[in-house]
Amino acid sequence: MENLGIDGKLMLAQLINFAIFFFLVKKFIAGPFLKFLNQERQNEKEKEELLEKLKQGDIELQSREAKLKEGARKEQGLILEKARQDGLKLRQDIVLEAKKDAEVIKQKARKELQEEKEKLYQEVKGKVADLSLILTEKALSDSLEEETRKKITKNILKNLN
Amino acid sequence: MRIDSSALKELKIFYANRPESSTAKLTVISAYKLGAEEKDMINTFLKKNGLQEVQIREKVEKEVIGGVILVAGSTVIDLSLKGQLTNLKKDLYAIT
Repeated sequence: MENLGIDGKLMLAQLINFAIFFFLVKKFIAGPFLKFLNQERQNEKEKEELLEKLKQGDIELQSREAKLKEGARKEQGLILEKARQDGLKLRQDIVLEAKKDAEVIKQKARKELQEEKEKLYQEVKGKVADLSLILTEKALSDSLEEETRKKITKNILKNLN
Repeated sequence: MRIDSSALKELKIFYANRPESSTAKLTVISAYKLGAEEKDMINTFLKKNGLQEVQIREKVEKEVIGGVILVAGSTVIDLSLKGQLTNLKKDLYAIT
């Protein structure tokens, strides 16, 4: 061994050093580092799982939100439709009521007009009668001679007896 | 021309209820001064209805036109042409 230039003692010492070095590295560096790596891997996995859960939650939330929006939209549509129907009904009622009122007013006006017409007609008839009698009276007064008047008077008195 | 029976009845009551001392008076309104014949006719009518001894007072009103109006107190018996026209006017009003 010496001929080959290999020192046995040195070799042994190097082997021991290596073993010590190996032991120390394994004990204090490689072990914790491996543990740290495993822990990191585990954390990463948990993070991924959590992220997946969050994604699922998000999807579920979006779905729920969409459903809610759809429900709200439907409800809004129903409310609007109901409001439209109510508005239409109200408009019809108002128009009907207005028509009724208008008919009442029309009837009243027609009645008043008819009454006024009747009144006027009566007045005219009265005036015509008055005028006719005044004219007759005047004509008789002016045209009847005394002899005729006497004849009339005698005739009336004759009828009495 | 007919006399309203109620007016004739009133006339009779008027004369029946007059004080005995007073003379029955009747105003005859005509369009002209009445002649004897017309006065006789009036007297005959009065007697026929039991109204004797009535003093007649004449009054001329041209508006009467023809016929006579007999007035005793508040009782009026209208036998005039004007009265007939007035009645006709009332009838016309009643019709209209």
